[in-house]
Amino acid sequence: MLLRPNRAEVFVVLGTVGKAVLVLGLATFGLAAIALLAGDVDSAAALAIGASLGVGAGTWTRMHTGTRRRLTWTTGVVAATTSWVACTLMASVPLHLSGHYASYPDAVFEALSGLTTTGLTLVQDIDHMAPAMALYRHVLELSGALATVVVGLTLLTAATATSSSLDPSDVRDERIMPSVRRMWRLVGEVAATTVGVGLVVMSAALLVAGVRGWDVLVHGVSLTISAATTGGFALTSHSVGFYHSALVEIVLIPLMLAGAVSFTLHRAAWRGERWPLTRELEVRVLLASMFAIAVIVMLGLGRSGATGDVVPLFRRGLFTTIAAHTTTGLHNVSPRLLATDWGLLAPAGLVAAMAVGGMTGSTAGGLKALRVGLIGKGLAADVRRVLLPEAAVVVATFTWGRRRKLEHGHVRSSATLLLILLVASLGAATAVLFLDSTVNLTEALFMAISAASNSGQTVGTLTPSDPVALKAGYGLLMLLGRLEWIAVFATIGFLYASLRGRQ
Amino acid sequence: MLIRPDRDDLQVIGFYLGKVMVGVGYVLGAPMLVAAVMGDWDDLTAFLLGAGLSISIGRLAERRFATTQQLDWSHGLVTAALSWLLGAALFAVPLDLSGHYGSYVDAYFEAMSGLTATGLTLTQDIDHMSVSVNLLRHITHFLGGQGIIIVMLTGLGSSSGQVSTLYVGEGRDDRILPNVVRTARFIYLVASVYLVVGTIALTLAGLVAGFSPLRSVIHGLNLFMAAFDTGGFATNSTSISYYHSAAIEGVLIVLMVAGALSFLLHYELWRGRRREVLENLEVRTIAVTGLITTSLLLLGLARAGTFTDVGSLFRKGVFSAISAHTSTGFTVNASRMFVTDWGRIAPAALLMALALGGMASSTAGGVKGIRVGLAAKSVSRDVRRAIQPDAAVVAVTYTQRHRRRITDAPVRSAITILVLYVLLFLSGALVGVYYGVPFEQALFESTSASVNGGMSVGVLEPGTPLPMKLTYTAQMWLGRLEFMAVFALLGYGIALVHGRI
Amino acid sequence: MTRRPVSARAVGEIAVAVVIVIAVIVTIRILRDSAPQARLPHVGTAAPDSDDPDIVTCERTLPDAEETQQAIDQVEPVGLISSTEVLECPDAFDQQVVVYVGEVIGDVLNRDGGAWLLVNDDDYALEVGPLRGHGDYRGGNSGLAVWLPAPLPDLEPGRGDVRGTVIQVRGRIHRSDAADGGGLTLRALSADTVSILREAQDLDRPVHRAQAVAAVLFALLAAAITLQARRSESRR
Repeated sequence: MLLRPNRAEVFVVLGTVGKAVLVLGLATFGLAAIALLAGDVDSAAALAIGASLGVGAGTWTRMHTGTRRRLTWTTGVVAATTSWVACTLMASVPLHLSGHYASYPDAVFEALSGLTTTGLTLVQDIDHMAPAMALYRHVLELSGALATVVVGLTLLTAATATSSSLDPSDVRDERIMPSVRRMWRLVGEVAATTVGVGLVVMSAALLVAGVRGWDVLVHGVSLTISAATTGGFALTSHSVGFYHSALVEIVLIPLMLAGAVSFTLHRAAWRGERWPLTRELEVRVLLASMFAIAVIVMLGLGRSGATGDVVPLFRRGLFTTIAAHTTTGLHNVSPRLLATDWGLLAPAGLVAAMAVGGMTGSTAGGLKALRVGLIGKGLAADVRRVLLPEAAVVVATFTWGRRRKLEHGHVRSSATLLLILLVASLGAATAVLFLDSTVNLTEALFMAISAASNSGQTVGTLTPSDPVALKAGYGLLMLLGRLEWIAVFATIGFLYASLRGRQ
Repeated sequence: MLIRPDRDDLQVIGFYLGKVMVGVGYVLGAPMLVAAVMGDWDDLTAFLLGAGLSISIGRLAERRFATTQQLDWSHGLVTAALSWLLGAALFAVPLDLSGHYGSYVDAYFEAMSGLTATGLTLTQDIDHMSVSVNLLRHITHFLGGQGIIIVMLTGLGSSSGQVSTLYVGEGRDDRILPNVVRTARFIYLVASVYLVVGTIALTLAGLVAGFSPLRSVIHGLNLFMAAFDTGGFATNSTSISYYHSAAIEGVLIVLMVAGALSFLLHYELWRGRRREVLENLEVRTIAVTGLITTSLLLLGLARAGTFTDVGSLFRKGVFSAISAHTSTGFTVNASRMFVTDWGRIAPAALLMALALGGMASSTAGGVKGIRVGLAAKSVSRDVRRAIQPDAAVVAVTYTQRHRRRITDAPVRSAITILVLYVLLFLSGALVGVYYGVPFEQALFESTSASVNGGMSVGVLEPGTPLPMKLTYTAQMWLGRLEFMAVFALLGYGIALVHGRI
Repeated sequence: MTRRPVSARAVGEIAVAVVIVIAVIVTIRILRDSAPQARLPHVGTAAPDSDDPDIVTCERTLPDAEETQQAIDQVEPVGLISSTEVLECPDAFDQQVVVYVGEVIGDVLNRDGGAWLLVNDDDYALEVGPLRGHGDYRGGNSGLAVWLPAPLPDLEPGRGDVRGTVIQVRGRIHRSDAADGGGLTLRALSADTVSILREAQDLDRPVHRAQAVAAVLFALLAAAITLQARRSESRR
């Protein structure tokens, strides 16, 4: 029995969506101007068409949906999901016009992959893509990353981590900033600083690696944004392998980690607070998990004999592990080699890394370290409860900003998400088997987890010639993973209620 | 902080383990009698040796740890976890001596597979196995199967409010009868009735199928124990396809389903409350998942063209689906044919059915209907809350003997255990993959072991690498005890070393 | 109730117990491996090894052939096949007429004007004989379900310490036999196409004396401990 949303609620959702599309349209206009200055008229035209669509649609929507209502949790979540879809549709237009996509669905997939900071790609002949268009994909990643952090902090993380349930009335918490507008500014500041500093260092590294001229700037922007947003798009088909430079890879690692670290920690560092890092559950889990998985991946690599020497083994193993764990999707080995040359243990480790993902309130995807930690803590508490006398009361605590009591709801909501992730990935992988007979279950599972965790690591099985249903499936997983499932469910419920609910 | 267990704790655990071991010794008397009648002298001495060993150790433990202390439930959990380990070790002795196992590890695997009602087998040349040894294999099913119900139902499953939530989220009020002894008696009463009726039905069906009278009784008894305890051992290498009999398959279906029903449900039915069957969340969940997996299986078989006529499709398909969903593991075709003749969808459907399993507090394995049901209800509650936060309270209820409201605590434990199962499936598959088994087949075998199913696609055989056998053994043990007892045992070990005095 | 810590003595006791258990296990190993053996003479396959089956592909190539009664005698079998080949490539063998040799196992299910048999062609059936006789481990069993029309030859199935009758069957493989509810079967073309290659044989193993002695010792030990426990209980 659902209540039909009233006019004001629908309006506030549409107003927000309009704003999102408008902003992305303006950013696209900016890039179009740069492309024009660089003399790339075709790209400028394509971008301008998309931008006009965005600005036009956004402005029109905002004009017709004036309301003073503030976003509630539900309308916020619905607005977020809808915005992602609307922006994807808008951004797919310039991409499609670029002529690098075999069909319009491919362009939509690419836009969605960028906006969800996933990094799976269906682009064809990227090595001959115009720089402006290639950079547009990174603009999408950056926009998606900023939105992810804001939405994550205000709506998603708060609901699962701080409250005993997804009950929105519990969302209020001292770590949530007072207003979304202010939040945008803070996130923007942090992002600008990270990207700015990263760009300078990266340019230097690229110069050392032998890149010259304007390419330093173009490649620098591309790599910096791709790493810091944990996106994973690259300018060339060889991704980071293109540069053959250990220095570039070393600069990328802290950038990817910065992307996977929660905004709250960034803020603390920003303010110069001496945060008791080692007590934070998320930090502990992330470090432990990265270390364990790096060891597994390198063991697997050593066993498979894919990389002869110790140094290449270390270099490839470590970079790939961090790229997977931060759900970035950059790679310094040809992706197909993961399936054909890396044995099975190392890719299995990467799958685990992607599934765990980064921290809450970051641009990383996956289940998130906090949830993994909560499930582990819950389990430990269960065992302790079993072993202690019946009268004893077991109180488990964890540190997330401050010390908190572990409640049933924490464990329940975290474990539910893990279960959904596992079941959906297994289900999707099985479905892939029927759609694409050239893929085996291992590869399908890798790809499904990669999509659902917005990672973008690939074993090279996703190609433009795949059936549309397959691409749609991966696309859906990316969207579901980015919005942590429940937001999408809520949106579907909202739509259903709009049509069938009781007045 | 854990409290270090003291002497009293170890004493009470040792005492009850002693009792279990003595019990194992006495149980060996039954096949011993059969061996004497059949004139299998070597088997007789093997059983005698096993019995003597079990009773000696058991009695010594009883005397050394003599105590009047009661088991509390942390003791109960640790005792249960150890009972399965030790029981398997003792039953493995006569099995090993029978000469049908490549090593003691294989015999131990077999005994664990029997006691956990799994049904995976490492027997070599089972077709030339003597009647008495074969009977012992099936007796381990009956013992372990009924044993786990008692453990779940009386010792741990519901006697304590705290621990009950770890299992299935049932409350204290679920004790069906006031004390352990009466509950156990009731369980054995029900099991005996099924034993008599089921064995007679199977014997009659066997006679019709062309068996001689004595052989019908032997096959009937073995089949009953394997089916009712959702075990899955069989007397011959070709499992149920040995019998070429629709009547036997029909009786087995009834027995498998009966075995997969929770004992609470048996009790309600015994008392004539049929309404419970229709309203129970777990029954409904299993009805839905059963329907889905069976349809998927039939669809897959039809698509692969495995069977040429509709009658065969339904007979083989439905039997296999029920055998998997009740985690019995009987097959009506050679294991290899799952890989070579069943296409890709049908084995996937079987895998799903295996993973889902039967009802809690039954002999069936799997993640159990109640957990799946609770998880589904919980997710639907989350979604409803997400859509309509303003509607004051979203109450979602379910029926398990009586109407209950979904709360966080049971859902938490249900989902935690679900996640653990899925991780166990995957990690076991990785071990297989490490040894070069294709992922699909490794996942099937690993899942089958973890859920005490016992279906096999032929990965497990006597020549399988030792670490894989040990992994499957551990999975059967973990799956049967549904993790918590094993964790309790580990915690106990840690507390012994690091605990506060 | 005061808490009593675990004493060092208890730990020592546990260690002793573990040592004893290990000793027992070693004893059992020795017993098991010293079982008397009675290896049967090598049976061997019935046909010359060069007569390999022609079918090696796994593709479904043959349409379902109609079986006509008078055609039976003219059908040339594709050759001697093994059960593992058939199970690996069920499609390829569907509706093929083959020659199959193996040991009758377990029971002869007499009914419906014929009998169902399980006929094994693994090493225990054709090479080394029942496992109990020799301890030469050759893995699990492998066989096919065989339908023989009446009149049946005199068959004694293998079980326990009996090696069953070894028969040769010329028949048609049915990947999905509707008359058997979809099972994979080998139907003998007629009663004449079945021949007995070797009669059944008892294993006649001598009793394992050492094991018997050990068993009696353990049984006495158990009885002694039990009686002693009873007595000290009643005294209390």
